[in-house]
Amino acid sequence: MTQTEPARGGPPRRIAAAILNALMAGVVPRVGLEHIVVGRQTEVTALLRDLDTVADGGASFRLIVGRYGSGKSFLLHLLRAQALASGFAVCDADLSPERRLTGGGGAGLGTYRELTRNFSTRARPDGAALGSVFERWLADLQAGVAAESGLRPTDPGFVGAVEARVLSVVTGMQDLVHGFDFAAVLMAYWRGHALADEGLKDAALRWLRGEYALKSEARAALGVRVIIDDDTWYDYLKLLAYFTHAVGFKGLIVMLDEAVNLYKISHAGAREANFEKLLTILNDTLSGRAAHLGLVLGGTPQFLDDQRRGLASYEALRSRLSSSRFAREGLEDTSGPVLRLAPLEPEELFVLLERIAAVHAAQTANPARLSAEDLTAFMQEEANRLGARALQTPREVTRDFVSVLNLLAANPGETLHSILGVLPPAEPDAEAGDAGGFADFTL
Amino acid sequence: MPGDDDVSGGYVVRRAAGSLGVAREVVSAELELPGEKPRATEAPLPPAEAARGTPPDRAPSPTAGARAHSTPPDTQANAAPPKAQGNAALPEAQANAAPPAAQGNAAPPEARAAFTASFPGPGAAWERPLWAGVPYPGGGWAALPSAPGGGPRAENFVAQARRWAARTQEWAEPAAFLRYYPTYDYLNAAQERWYFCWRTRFRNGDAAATDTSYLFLLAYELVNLVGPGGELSPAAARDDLMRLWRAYRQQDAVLDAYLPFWARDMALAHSLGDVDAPLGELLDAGQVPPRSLADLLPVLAARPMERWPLAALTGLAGHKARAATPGGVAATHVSMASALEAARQAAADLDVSLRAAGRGGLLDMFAPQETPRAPRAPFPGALYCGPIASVQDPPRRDYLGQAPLRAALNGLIRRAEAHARAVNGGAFRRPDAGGLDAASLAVVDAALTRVLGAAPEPSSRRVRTTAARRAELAAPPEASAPPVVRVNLARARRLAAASQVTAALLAGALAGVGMAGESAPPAAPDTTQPPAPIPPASGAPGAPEAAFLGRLNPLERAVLGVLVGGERVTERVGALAREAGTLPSLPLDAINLAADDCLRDVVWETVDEEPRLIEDWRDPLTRLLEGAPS
Repeated sequence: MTQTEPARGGPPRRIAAAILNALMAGVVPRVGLEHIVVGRQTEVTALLRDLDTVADGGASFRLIVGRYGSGKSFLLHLLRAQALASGFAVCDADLSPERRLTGGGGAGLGTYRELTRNFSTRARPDGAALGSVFERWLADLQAGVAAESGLRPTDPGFVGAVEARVLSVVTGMQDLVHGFDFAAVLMAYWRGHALADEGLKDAALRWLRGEYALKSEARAALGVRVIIDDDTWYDYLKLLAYFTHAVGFKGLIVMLDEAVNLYKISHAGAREANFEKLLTILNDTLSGRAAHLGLVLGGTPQFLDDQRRGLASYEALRSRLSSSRFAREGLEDTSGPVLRLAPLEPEELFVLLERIAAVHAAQTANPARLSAEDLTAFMQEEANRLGARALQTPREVTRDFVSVLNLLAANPGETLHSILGVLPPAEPDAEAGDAGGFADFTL
Repeated sequence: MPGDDDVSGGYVVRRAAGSLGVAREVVSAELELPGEKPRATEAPLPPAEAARGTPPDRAPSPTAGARAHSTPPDTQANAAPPKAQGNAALPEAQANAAPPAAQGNAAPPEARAAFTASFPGPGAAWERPLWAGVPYPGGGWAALPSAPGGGPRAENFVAQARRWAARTQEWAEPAAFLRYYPTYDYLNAAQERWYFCWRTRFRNGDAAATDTSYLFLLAYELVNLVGPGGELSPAAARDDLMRLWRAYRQQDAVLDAYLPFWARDMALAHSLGDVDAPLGELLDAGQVPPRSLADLLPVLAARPMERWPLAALTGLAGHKARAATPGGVAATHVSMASALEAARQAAADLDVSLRAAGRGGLLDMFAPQETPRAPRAPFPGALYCGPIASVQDPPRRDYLGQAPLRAALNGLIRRAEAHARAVNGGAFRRPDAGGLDAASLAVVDAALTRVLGAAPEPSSRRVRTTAARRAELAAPPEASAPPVVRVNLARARRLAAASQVTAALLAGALAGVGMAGESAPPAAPDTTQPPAPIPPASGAPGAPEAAFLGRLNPLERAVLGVLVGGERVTERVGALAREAGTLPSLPLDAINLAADDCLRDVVWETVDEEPRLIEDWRDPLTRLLEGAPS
């Protein structure tokens, strides 16, 4: 038997606990993804290439498609962690009946608000980083002015010199759609900072987060005549991407998960309006009209392929998102906007279980020691479940596995086979030798 | 009687002091005003439509009034007898012995004054709907009394019920009565006489025919433990509830949705034992009332599936019978009914075969989690005012939330329907397996053939014209046994090594590897060994922490000290930043960036818009700061 070693080093206990708790709950951990990543190299490489494109001033659009529990959200989280570590700003949101791309009751604006609320940077990976980005921007400008001009913050010309710098940044935005208002709000933030007027700064941030419902309120607070609404939020997202790059980030990555909620919209008109918005975004990003902006969506095959209610029902999207005629299994093209997640192969699942066992060992004082045969027996047991062929996903397998590990740790007298309720595998026949490197187990 | 803070009926505090007291007292006052005719909008949701298990704090819905308005005119006429009229019809001796409820419950003058003050305008206030214009309490609608639940309405009912517990009536003409949430207040003189006459006969074992509203009136009395001798024992109340249900369930199916469940709650609340017996009897009668499947499933799980009501099977499967199918309506209807019977038999056979194979029953194949139940108000839908504020159901397995189970059962039923169509001679298409494997499908098909007869092979035109179908048919049949898992260990090791590189790339631990993975694939390490964990940032223990501290300037160290201290963080960090001529977010961000570089984790996070140290880091950082040179 090949014994898997208990973890050496491993993740910190807090990270390990967070990983295991999330896996038990069937959700993707927010931290420590690198400890359980297995396979998906094609997809990861494609997504990292997108990051390069965004960093170089381009824009990208990706639709990650896979069944429930197949690893879409995992891949999104992985990309998020990598983007943050690489110097991007990231904002993410889950679409829902209340948060769409457009819709009655401010459903599109709801998505924008969620995105800005979850605006994250490497120093603030949990979101709410928009304010700190502005502060950092102003601090950098002040430091630059002080270094170049020798002025001190208390000198009379200092504020004017910094304001000139601010103007140079915002002037570049005024050519973009709605750039003038965006620039006006940035100037308002600067004025609030210079005058130590926290109310003005808060008003500017509120405006940028799309929290003004009435134009009159925005005009009274900031002197701007427009507010962010359902029709314009994507334009402001582009402006936000421009701004984040201007203040030193490599770009802005926007992630929208649970896009299947667009497929679930029952009213055909509302659904098509959302698809049209998606088409606008796709055209914008792939035709080069947006800069420093990456957009990633996660959805199910239904959302993409359903001819009646999915993206395939909208001809303009169907033709843009269809894969190459010549692509086939084993010959995949990841340059298109759609990344389809293939089911994990047995070997990938095997390594994933090994990694989870290592994480578990880092977290518990009494780790279970599982052999390769044990892991295979567990996989066999999962495959034996009714409907496993059609319904089994990594989410279910990992959840079961963590629960088995917990049981083993809590009951040292038990074995994996006694917990699974199956007989242990027979000892392999020494004369049979290694049959081509395959390990077969008959239960 | 409920205590002052009883919440079972939705009223949190009836006469609480403070800002909410007036609003609640106003509501109480209007409900108890003497001689006032109850308004149409006072009528709560009908029992038949009130969802079972509705939270007790649910506010009266706007539709309640509309439904009450839709009551037939003759019912309206019956429904609103002035209380004085009803009491006047009582024999004088009884009226003396039992003073009219109105007198005993007269609203205090100050409450009436408060009410009038809250609705300025002469006379207009009393024409308003009950809830219109009543100031919202702090808890919103949730703090208002639910429909019907407890509150003064139930208190009033129970007081009247106890007063008239022993009342008998020798003879009376039957009188029609139809009312949502009936109480004595709605009875006119003739109805009152008939009710007490009928109740006397029922107590003596004679179940005379009567309107359903009288049945609910008696049920409310039983729920509140009101019996002939005044106080009724819980066991006797439960037995009477079940006797009432058995006697009248054929008359009105709405009783199925309430009485057995109230009998169960009675057993649960008073620890009578054999709690689920009423629900078992309900299932024996083949009834699954709407929205009750979740409550019935724990009882169903203990029964063989062939004894399940069909409604339970189709409900669990989320299955809706198809209306239009070839073969003629009459023939189709016959075959579809047979198909459901056959599906039940097939499910039972499959359940037995799975148990025999040691794979658990059909319900437990997908290992549903056992979830604890939150305490809930007893007797949902009843006018109850008693000492039991809540009852606690035992934990139950969440079968209804199991999508794979639903898919399997739905597939099974659709297979039975297709089989029936085939036997009928109509065109049919073999449905999807619904997630069932080949061995299970064989058991199902055998049961369907036994019950419905053999079906010909699918041969519809649709099958032949669809390329995908052709490919599906050309594919080799599924193996009868589950697939054998084969793991190529050498490939797994190579994969683990490659994943290790990906992980290290993502963790930023490999120097010189580009972001987009443009570097050549790394050489595979020893593929015979299991993967090593990701190496720590530095080999020596404590070195990452020291490196972290070394990255911080004096201001950032001071801010870290404030974070570790954990008191008035925002204020103190702001003061430190002002003193240093910078902004607070800058040292905070710098700390997390350094931590991310050296410790691979951030050390603080934003909680309630304030930076807060992550607890796991408190001890190590405290030690680190204590040992660090100033």
